[in-house]
Amino acid sequence: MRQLLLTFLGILFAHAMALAQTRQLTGVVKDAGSGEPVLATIKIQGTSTGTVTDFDGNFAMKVSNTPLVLEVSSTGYKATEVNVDEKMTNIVINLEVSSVEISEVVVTALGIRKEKKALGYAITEVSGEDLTQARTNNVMNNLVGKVAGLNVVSTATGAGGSSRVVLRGNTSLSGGNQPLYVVDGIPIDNSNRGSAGEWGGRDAGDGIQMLNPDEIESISVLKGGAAAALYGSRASNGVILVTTKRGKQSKGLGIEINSNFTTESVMDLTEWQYEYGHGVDGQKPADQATAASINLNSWGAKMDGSSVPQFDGVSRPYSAQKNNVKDFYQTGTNLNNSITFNGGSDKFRYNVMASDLNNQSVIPGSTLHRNNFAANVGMTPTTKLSVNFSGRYILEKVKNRPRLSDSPGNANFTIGILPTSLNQQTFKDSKLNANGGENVFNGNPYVTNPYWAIEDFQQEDSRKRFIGNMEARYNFTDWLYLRGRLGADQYTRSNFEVTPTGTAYAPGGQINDQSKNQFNERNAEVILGVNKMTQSNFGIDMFVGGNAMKQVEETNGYGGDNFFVPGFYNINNLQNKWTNYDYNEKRINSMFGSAEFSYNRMLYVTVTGRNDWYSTLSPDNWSLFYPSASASFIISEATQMPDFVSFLKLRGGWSKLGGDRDPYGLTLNYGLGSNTFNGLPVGSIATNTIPNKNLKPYQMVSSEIGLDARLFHNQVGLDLTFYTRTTTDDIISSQISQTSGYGSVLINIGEVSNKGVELLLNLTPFKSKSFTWDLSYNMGYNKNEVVTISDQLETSRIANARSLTAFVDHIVGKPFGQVMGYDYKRNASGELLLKDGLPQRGELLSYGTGVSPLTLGLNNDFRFGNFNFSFLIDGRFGGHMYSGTNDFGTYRGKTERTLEGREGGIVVDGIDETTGEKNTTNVSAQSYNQSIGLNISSEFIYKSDFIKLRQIIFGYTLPSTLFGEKGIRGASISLVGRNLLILKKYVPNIDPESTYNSGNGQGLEWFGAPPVRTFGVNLNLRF
Amino acid sequence: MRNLIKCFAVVSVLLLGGCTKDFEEINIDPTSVSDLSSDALFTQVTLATSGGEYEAWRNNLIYNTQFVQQFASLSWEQGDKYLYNEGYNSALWDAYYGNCIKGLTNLIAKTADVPDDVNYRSAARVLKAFAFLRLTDSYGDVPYFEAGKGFTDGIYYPVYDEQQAILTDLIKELSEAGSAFDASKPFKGDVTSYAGNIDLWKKAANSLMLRVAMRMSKKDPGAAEAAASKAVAGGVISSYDESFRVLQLPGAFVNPNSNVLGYFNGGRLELSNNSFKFSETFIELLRSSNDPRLKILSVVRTGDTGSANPGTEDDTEASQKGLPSGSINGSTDDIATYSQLRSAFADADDANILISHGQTLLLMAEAAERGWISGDGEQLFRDGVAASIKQLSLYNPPAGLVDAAAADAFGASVAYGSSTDDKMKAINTQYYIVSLLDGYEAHANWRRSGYPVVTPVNYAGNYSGGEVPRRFQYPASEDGLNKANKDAAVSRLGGPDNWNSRVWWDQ
Repeated sequence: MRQLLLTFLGILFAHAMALAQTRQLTGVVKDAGSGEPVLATIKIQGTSTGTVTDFDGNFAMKVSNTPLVLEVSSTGYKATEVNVDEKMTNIVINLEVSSVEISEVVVTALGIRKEKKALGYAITEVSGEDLTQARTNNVMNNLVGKVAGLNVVSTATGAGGSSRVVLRGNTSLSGGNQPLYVVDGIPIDNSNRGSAGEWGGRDAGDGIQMLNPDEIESISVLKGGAAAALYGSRASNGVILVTTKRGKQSKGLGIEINSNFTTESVMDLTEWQYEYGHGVDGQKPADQATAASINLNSWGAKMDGSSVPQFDGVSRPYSAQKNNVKDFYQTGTNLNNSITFNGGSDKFRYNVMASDLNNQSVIPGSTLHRNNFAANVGMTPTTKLSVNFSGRYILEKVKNRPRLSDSPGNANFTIGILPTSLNQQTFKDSKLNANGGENVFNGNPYVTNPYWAIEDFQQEDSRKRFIGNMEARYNFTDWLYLRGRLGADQYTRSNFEVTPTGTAYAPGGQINDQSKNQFNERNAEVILGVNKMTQSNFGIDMFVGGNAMKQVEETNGYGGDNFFVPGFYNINNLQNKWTNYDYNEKRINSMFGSAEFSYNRMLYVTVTGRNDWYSTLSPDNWSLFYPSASASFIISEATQMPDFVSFLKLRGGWSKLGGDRDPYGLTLNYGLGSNTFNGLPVGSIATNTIPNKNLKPYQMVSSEIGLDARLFHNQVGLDLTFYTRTTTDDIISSQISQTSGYGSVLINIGEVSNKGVELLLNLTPFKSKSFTWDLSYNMGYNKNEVVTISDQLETSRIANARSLTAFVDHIVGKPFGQVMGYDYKRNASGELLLKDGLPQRGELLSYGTGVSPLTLGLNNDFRFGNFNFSFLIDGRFGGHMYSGTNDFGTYRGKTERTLEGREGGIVVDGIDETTGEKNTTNVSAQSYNQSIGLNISSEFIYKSDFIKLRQIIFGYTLPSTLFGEKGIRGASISLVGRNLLILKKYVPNIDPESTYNSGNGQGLEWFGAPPVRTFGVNLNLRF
Repeated sequence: MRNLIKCFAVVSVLLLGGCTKDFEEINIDPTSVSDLSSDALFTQVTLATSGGEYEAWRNNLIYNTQFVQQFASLSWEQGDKYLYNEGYNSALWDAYYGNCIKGLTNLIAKTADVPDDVNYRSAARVLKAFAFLRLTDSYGDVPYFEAGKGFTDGIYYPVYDEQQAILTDLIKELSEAGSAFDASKPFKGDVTSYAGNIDLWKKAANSLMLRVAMRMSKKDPGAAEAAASKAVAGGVISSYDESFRVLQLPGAFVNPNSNVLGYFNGGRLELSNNSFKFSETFIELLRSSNDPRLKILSVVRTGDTGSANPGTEDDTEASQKGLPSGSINGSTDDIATYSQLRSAFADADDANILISHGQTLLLMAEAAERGWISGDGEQLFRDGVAASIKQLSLYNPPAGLVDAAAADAFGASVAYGSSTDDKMKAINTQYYIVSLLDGYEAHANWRRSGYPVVTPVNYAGNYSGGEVPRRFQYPASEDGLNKANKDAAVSRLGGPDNWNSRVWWDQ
């Protein structure tokens, strides 16, 4: 094949030479060490003729038929002169890295590689290597603590859950706040396919989690507007660009095998009271019927080891069971193997990989299995044409995603609230009643036996996904090119969820959902570009282009209840059935352009513009233009700097972006119920949100300035950014009084401001031949303020806790998403006003934002010979959370605070509201705590701050001398651990990161899965 | 260079020409329609008025029926011990405004100028009056004139109207709606027991008007008298099987009322879980007058808990034992030995009776005794008691359990009394019994009449200071979303926004 291609090319060139007195000189510029292509400037000595290489390092230019000398230069490399004799038409130029100068080529918007120094905005690139050793099954979780200004929150659900990623603060009050994900130039869907709310549910994962870290070459985080402006409205919350591995010319076979095995174990953070057992009013349950009909209260008698009847009729010792959490959850395992074939030549290169991931969660019966197949194939059939294909096929199957938040079917809830006089094993042993159904064990059938929840409830979903990208680039001349791309992201998600027959609250059983969801997004993009360096050191790099996007989503589903034949979970076995059909389509067409002007490689100015047209808005509003401008000035090139300054750059950027909305929001529609009533159709208004035909896209103006400095021969690196982002005309789904008939209305009125600072500091405190210590510290602080909610509203509710006594509200003048709770009723001097000796509920107050404004990460990396050791510590500060686990635990008498006054009661310090005198009424601990629990929620709002030892890697790279010339090229082994320790937190019993969904309403916790600590080993072999 | 121009041309045509092509068609939702026929909408609003599990379980069963000591529970102690729970307190508000009022207001508005839809419009006005009486009885001043108009009128923060104005308008609405029914116009999709019968709908409108009128007996006797006499003159429900009820089907639309106690998917399963019990007050009331309903309604259940099989339902009168309201675990015998509702009255397909013949006759008896309508108060009372028993057959209990002759005999023999107070006590005590399972009505009429006398419970931490609650508090959600209007309503309440302040007609 290669031979054939060369012959073909030979003929082509011979033909070209015969025609001209000049000749076509083509070549490639590479890094002498790594063989990676280099962006370089090539000039013919003594002339003004020159060119620059493309992103693959290739160049082509017409030269005279005489010997000549090329001057090749590139930032970060030593300037080189190359002699070319009169006959040469093809040349490979290797550049040596220069020790002081920095050259980093990063992937920017639309996949265009640029030198980092040319950028007028902050960009953070995370290398694929940082994602593979101590890996997480959702690759985004691995960015925690690594990128300044990036806030990742992951759902407390085990493997396969979604993550909330926010860059530089939340910008939209009720819209999406997560960035756009782009894989090899193709926007991919990241929707959360199901989440838990205050009434429970399962987190069904998101889109980005399906990627395998092994296939990732790098992740570029485009945080600011100027960086992302070329993506238009979809990028208003930033862009995360994933670049997958491409083939390279390599020695050896080009095979890489990576195997990663970890175990997962729950971190039991509970500190319950172990003195009083199951019961109410200080009494042990007297008999089986009582034990089975009272709720899971820990208001019983002092545990004395006496024999007390339990719900199953067996009497057991009334004594503390301290290992319920440890015994109920199992040790999970995670095994991930991958194999990669990588190789190529000048004309053809490939990277093909396959991986297999098997996860057994700490929650018994909950598993994740994923296979990723990816291929990236590039061809350069002629010097003018290059073609690249990148495709991946992913199969994911998840079983029994745990239910979260509210109690039905949620094992975490029951284990969480279980009185400590009961042993979780009893629920396994006495799970079934005489009919084979769920044995009733408490007065509320909606609280489910944890073993019934994990063994009998069934849920399974699978996704088959294809993400593909075809790209062709044609270089008309050495300065003009055309690039076309076609991209597709499509998947089919099947879901099957059953409430088994015999479930206490649904005895007939249910198929909750049996559905098929098909998602399909296509993008077609063309750009025409000019890249020219003129004789007087002025450079120009510009392009114009267009993109057409079409997104279609279709869901077919059905369900029903009451199975005729118990345990046979088939749609035909249902007495009542319902159906569901959903269809959504939207399109965005765009035109865009970008121009970068440079002078002498020290000053760069870039302007971009994009116009988007949206199908989801009315004709008056469906077109919007998004401009941006940015500049970079490399001071260290322009003037003589002190010796210790290796590199100094100032940058600044400005942009205007915006965002659209979901389809079909312009008119009031009616829908029909899936079932008829006695043969009659049942029709109603299809929405709880009042539509608005005058909606327009919201607008976001952002600006940033920054500084990039390298000092003391690169031993110190400092990157500092200040930014502001202001959203206006935000489309608000504003909650309104339910008495209007509707829960919310869509209006274009919100205004949100974000101001922040990001700092990245890299230090090499010690460096010698055998020992290096690298330290990297990043910090992001974002000050958010909700400026306007609507003309009538000062607050807007975005989430309720299950107790309905704690909320997340936006409040004008305060940061996004305030955690709200009820205070005690107090008099003017702050004393509690009591009634019958008990505290009363007072005002609803805000206790601070649920979004931590300050994030820190500190990574230390030590290399000693072939050993390396690194650890990552990260923290979040300034946020707040309401803990339902602690609230409900107090109501039920399980928290330690409920021990006070168990014997002899409590005289609460306060004023009797009726008499105005100091309170003297003695109340029981139960009455006291039940007047606080699920009522005075401010007691259960905590700082969500934490510091965690997030990750440890201890690695050993086998010396290459161990292996001969052939065979193994490299091998390394690492011991890895994640989420090892919580060094600091304020909230008792739970993980301060615990949240049951990845929506906007952050800061509410209610019986999620416990946090998991992982340990494992990563083995990497290269042939 | 020519290539370059060509490329620009291609790109431009591709994009500019097609920038917004078909965009308006694409943005039309293929799964919904811009309009639906009135009969299809009417079916839904009827079911929404009948209600759902959410509020039927919370406001109705946990709170109303336990406040007045019809039921009691150890597991769901919030009601009989007057403990506060925001979700329970606000369930009716959230469910009615968000579904039934929204649908009714919209249907009434969109049929205003459609002469052929006059029957849907009239029936919707009757249902709306029913729903608003429940809301205002429960909370007091509530958004009425501006409610449910978020889309039609762009009112997002409705003003709370004074209860007197609401009740006055309900009477006007019922009067207008009743006379607007037109037999020559279509009336399909009626899932009430009336199945599109206009004469019966008129009776329901008048019977409801009588109910509204009698609510005002204490506060505005003049208005009450005028409306009561008008209602009765117009013709009210006149036999037990004319009782106004919404049919129910097992399945997707199951359980919009108190039958959620029963054992079926979506039910609360309280009967088979042995947790929701008759209150001692109710059982002893039936027993003391040898009421045949003790045997009909009350059983002691033995057998498996948590099973569809009710086991043995022992209906021997002597075995019946009510759970004292306010009981706590440990102070009681085995919970299984206390009486429960017979499961036949909580089947998935039991009808939801909104206005019964028995209730109507008893209200007429009181109106007659007050001299507001003509008629023999005592006879109306005795007929009312007999009808109250006979209408239990609408629930399809086991054959032979409800005996018409026995009902008449009991009606004829039950004590009535001679003083006005005794008569009022007899009438309203019977109203309390016949309103079992409709806790909203039982609680409202108890507040109005004071009968039967119940002894309040003063449980530690209760929310009403040891008094039987007189209303529900405004939902906390209104604090954040409609505070100014809510605060204005609270200022008219004559007390704090709690369970003890009284609604206007109760003052």
